[in-house]
Amino acid sequence: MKVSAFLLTTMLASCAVTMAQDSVAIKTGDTLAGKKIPKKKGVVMDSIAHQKKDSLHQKNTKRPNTLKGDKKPSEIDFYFNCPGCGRG
Amino acid sequence: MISISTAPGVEGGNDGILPKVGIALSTEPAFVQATLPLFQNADIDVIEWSFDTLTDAAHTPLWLDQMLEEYGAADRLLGHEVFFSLLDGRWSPEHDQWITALKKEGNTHRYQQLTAHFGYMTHGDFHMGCPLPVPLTTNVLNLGIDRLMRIQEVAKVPVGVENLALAFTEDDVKRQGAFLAKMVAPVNGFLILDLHNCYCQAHNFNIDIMQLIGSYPLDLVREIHVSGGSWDHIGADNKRIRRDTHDGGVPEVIFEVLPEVLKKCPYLEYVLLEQLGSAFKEKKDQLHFQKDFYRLKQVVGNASKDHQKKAWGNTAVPPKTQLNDEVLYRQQRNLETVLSKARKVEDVREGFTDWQTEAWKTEMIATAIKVYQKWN
Repeated sequence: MKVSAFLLTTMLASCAVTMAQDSVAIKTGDTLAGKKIPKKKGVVMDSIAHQKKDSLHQKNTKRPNTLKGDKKPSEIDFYFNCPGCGRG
Repeated sequence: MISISTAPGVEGGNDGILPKVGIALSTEPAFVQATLPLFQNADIDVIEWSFDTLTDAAHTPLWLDQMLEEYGAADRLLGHEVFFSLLDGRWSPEHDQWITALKKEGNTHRYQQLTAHFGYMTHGDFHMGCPLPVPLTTNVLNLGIDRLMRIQEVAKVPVGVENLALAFTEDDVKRQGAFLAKMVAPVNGFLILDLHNCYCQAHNFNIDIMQLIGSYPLDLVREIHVSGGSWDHIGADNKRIRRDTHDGGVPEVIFEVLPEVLKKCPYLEYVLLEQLGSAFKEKKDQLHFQKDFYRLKQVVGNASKDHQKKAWGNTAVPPKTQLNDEVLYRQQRNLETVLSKARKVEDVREGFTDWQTEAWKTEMIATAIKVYQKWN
């Protein structure tokens, strides 16, 4: 399906900006909460996102619960929209 | 009044249609990078959006609304829930919140259908939780029917259910298709046949994949999901377990069976490719996704063009009071507690009536422990 030029331009711009911000925030090999994000793909904790989730949970003694009004950390917001699930 | 989808398909011979090929949408930048060339080439026929995965307007990309608007206007937007928890024993305030959000979403964007996952979502907030299986009992069946009616009533589009990858017993694997058929019948609903979920079950329970797929009511399949996953290694003998993690390319076996599956699903309208944005670590991962997409498009394009449209959905009205099963609810919470603390599989089998835990496969209990502890 052909989408509008406006949509494509907005996607491109959004993508470029966020990637630039993200590359400053975190990348493979960085250390988060005292834990180095491995460069090699593991079997279970197999993505950078999962490593980030771990680090954030280690950092926060109390996990945020949005159902009870806690604010979600932005990194989790950003990385944990799971289309189609994939949590198997 | 339930509106029945009337979206025109790509016309084939004999008044048949060719299923539309698309992607499950994600807002992650790496995913956008990977899919942008596909959008630029106008090759994405349809998109599926899980509206309940993004709840914070502050982190909603500007393009998303425009995307949903354009695909919705073209009758090419599909809805797919992640966090509703279809078969939770108790209807909770979170279910009410989700239904309210669905109503708002349905008034904002024009969806062709809304689909749910078989199983229940472990409790947690919106960025945690994982789907777990349920016992295939009459009570659970009635819960599913009740919830599907409520979703359909609010969504005002046909509803369907996707098969689950994780199972504890071979019996559950073999009976899931027939069970789903009974669940969607009262709403004249349909199935999403997730081929990677079938692959997980076929491998983990040593069943021929086409035999397993054949156990599903394929005349109820309106949509197929295609994705990748990963291998896990369980137990002292390091047994290989296939897991539905959406973080890799599509396995060859899926492409091998796909032409045959396409032939066996007469009312198939959509074929969707799924992959998590976090899986695109390097440029080559993006290229691999694009390659998978075009291969998928080619396989579907080569399929016979005699798929037919069918009128899905109805105006079934749910009972005033939501159905609950308190025994199931308590056992689900107990299962979560046990999985969260379990160090060995023997810790898990106790205290679950209706679940036939004596038949639970050891490797699958160990897998459930890992899945639960990963996502909660």
